[in-house]
Amino acid sequence: MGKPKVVINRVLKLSNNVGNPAALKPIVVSKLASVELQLENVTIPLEGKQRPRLPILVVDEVTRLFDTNAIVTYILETGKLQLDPKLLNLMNFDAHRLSPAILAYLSEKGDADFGVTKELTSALSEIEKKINPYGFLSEERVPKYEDAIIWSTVYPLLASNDKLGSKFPKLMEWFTNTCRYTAFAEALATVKPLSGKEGAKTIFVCNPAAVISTFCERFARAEVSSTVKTEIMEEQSGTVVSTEEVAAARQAWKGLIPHSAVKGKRSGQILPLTGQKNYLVTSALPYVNNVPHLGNIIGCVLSADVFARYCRVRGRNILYVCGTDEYGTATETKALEEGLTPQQICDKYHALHSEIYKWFDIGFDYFGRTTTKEQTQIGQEIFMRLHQNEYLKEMTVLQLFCEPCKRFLSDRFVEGTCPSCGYEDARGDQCDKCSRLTNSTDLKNPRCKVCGSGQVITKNSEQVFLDLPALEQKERLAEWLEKASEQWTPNARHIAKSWMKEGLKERCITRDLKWGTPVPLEKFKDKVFYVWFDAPIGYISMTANYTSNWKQWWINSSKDVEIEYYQFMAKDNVPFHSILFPASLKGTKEPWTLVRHLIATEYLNYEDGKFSKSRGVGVFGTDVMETGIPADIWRFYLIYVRPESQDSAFSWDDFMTKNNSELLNNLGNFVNRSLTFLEKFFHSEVPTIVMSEDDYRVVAEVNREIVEHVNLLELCKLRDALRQILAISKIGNVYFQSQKPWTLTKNAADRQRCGTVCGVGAQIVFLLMTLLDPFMPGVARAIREQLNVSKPIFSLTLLPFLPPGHKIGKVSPLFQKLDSDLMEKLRKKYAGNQAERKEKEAKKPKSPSKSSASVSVASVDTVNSNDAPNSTGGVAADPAEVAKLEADIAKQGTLVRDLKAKKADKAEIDKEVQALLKLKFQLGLLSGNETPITDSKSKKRSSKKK
Amino acid sequence: MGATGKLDDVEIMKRLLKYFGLTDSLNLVNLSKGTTMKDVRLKAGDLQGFNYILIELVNTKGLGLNLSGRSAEQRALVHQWLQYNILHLTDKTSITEYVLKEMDSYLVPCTFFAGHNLTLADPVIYLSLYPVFMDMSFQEKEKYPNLSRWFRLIQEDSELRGKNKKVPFASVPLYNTTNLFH
Repeated sequence: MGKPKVVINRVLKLSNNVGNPAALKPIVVSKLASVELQLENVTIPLEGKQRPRLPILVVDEVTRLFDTNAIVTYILETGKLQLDPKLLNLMNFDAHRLSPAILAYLSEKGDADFGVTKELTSALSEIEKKINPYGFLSEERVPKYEDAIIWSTVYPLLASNDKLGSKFPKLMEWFTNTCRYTAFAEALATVKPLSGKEGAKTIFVCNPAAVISTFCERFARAEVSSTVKTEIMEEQSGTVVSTEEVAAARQAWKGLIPHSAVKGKRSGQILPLTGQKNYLVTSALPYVNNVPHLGNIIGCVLSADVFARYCRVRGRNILYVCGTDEYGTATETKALEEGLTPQQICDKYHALHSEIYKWFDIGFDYFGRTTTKEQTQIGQEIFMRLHQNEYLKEMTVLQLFCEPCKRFLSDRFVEGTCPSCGYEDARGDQCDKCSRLTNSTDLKNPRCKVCGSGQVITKNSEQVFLDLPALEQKERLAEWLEKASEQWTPNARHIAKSWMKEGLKERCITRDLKWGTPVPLEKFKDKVFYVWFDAPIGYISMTANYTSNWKQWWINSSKDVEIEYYQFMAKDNVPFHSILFPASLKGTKEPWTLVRHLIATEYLNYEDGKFSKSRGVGVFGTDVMETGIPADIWRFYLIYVRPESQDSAFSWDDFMTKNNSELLNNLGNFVNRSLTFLEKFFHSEVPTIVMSEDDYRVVAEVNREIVEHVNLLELCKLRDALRQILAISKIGNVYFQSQKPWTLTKNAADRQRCGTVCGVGAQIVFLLMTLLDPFMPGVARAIREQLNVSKPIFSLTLLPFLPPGHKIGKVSPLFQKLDSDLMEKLRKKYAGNQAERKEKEAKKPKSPSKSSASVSVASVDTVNSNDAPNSTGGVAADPAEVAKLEADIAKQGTLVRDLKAKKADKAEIDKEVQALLKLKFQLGLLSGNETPITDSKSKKRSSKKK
Repeated sequence: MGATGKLDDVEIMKRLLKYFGLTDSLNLVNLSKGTTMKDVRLKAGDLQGFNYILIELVNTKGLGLNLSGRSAEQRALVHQWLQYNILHLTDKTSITEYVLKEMDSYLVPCTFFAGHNLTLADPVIYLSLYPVFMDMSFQEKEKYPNLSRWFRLIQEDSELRGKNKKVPFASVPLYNTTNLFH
């Protein structure tokens, strides 16, 4: 009765590479135990650092057995046989002593190594002693499991008629006899193992760990031949240089040392020159209203700065221009809140930005603003030319109009009932509840967010549109994009091409605002330029503020002047820089300089997540200045985690680790050691250098890294380029470790060698100083002081930059350790959630908004869409306070509406509106939500992002 | 534990025996000064080598926790990894990137070294790898995502961790994420 139990016998398969004798053990044992084990030959690729383990028995997904003794225990258990201590001991003997000794002996020069031979001899004699009177290792008259284990391991040695075999006749006899027994003979026929060094090679190719561990054993016995040691070290560091490279290094070393290419302070202005490449570098303009945070800084100004400084070290003719983007709604509303004029707000925040970038040592040639007359002039001129060339269209759009306010409302100023889900506080462009995108005109019961009024109607409004489709066709945009984007970062290329593929549509370039560049057409004189049309023109107008000869950079039809224009930005700015701006310029039919290298980064996240306004997570320029950690360290880490091919994250722990391991232990350690040797052993003078072959090899290694570094830097792969520098200082450290100048200095006979080693070390320090200059200018300066030199010298090879006898300056450590306590403190201060903040706030005396700079709820995040950064001053969400404020707001709102309805005195209305805005603002602070006034969630207005 | 060199095997072995509930059996093992995991012996009988001794003690004690493996497959894996520990992990200088990558690759389908439940192998390897992990940067830890995942799990056991610090791991990848999916 009942179903018969179906037992499925898995067929055990042993995979092995052809000829590998290690497979003998499992096969023999399986035959002795009457357990079926099939052999499967596999071919393996010969390249690749990680090798697959073979032979291997894969029983199931999680059970992969590559340890042959473990396979033996498995087979025995499957065959219901016991593992007795004698067998176990033998397996350990095999794994710990016999097998390593045999493999070491059969490796390339193993048989010539005395220590190895000695060890193997010892192991073999121990085995010989275990042979029982019947001539086997088992307790019986026939070879069994004990024999199988040892026989398999010694097979490659004894089957090759190695001379060592003659020392162990008894063992040889046992071996020959055993081969004849069925299980063993059959195994030989199945596996067809190779023997001798060939056999050993088949083992090594699938089990280098075996090699490494055996060699490590040998190191312990300190009888290792130096060739083996270098093989291992080279395998692990991967820096084997070719003889050609060494020869090239030697030749360069003996050649002329160039002068520094760095130009001195110029009296005039930087203008393009003929006969050489000229570099124009711009970084996306930071929006003035926000305090920049780390993501903004690495994405834009810092990246551009590294590249700009690199150009300067190379003596290139380069101009680095940037500035604050100041027009737009957010500034307008902030001005209202703070009771200042927009211009005053911009003045205030522009100074803050300047301060922060100065602290970061950003070397702009000019840092300007968009609120200049040049901006208006140039912007309007471009607009008019587009108009003349018929690339502008006037179109009517349906927009919401607030009657009390008498203004058209853009998405950020509208709230209403979502047409899809009925949520009552849907925003103008998107519903928070159901996330659907809306048009503000589709909202039911729309309300004006400025005054709270429901008297919002839809009205036709005429706006000016840029006719992108026409531009695309007539100015052959796609053709230009195809060619130009080859030099862009892949993400930028991808984004631009996707936009084009979607099909370009007319884009509205005017807005109903007051604070902006006025539209130069009579009909539209009350409107201003849309920020994304206006802002990139800032690059041009700022150059115009810098020099009256700005046209030489921007509209230059001369064939003799070549301008390589590099633009740096975060990826959300790409569409505007890759299509909108070039299209606008092309539409004027003037020979504008267009971008050649668009370098876009991905997003920098913060610790475990994104910047979040509701949680108040983020680290800002002002915060960074307060930490007490020097700017160069921040520069270093931000570049180290620069989000190039994908998003990356800022982590306090990682920041600390990188500082301590890379800066302190690697770079700082090398520089400090090197200069201290000169100070202590050579009276602070660079000694005479007499180069040996080994030294040239090190130079060749360094040269390889330099070339790679420069290649990466030209592609603006700053992250990787930085790592190259660290690789060079690592080479320096390894060089010292192997040469041990601290020991050489003790003997008079080694004096010259000591001098050479320390001298070469000093040259590497000089090189590092030059390479570090774009990344950490302060540190480079410090090294120059310690080296007592004035300028970096760019060179693609390591040279004896410092002549013998050159006196260096005072030596001191470059970096400090960051300890985890400090990191914990900082992490708590700039992260955490509301509960933590509440605690903190309770402890601190409450100060009304710390400094309006750090209170930036009203600002728009530029790196992460939708989230606005919150103040570090903290938010305490006391429900009672919130309720009170909400009541006050309601009251004030009613008051305002009444005044407006009564058509009261304008000044009075304005005063009450201001009060209302202030209350709403405070509510926003308290509840951690953005204020309704500056709804940064509005995607349209997030066009302010820079 | 210093940055280089051998761990004190005797201390490790004592700690492990205690951790596995084998304190009573400490006196069965010859743990005189200088004993290594390879040459340690049981006082009675011939058995040598910590890998087999540990299994033997756990089995005879009959703790019923299947620490030496629940199935023939698991038992074989326990053998394999205890041996791996002795061969490659007791000397810190031999824990190379190659070895770590190898271990990482074998952990891809497994929660623990012997499959999906804790066995003798895991705590033993934890103690061997702890000094290495303590020195690793976040970037290096990300090179071995499965091993790091396993380490992060195993170190949660405070009894095993003892005075060791918790090695920090980033919960979002900070560096190249392409090797997450081997």
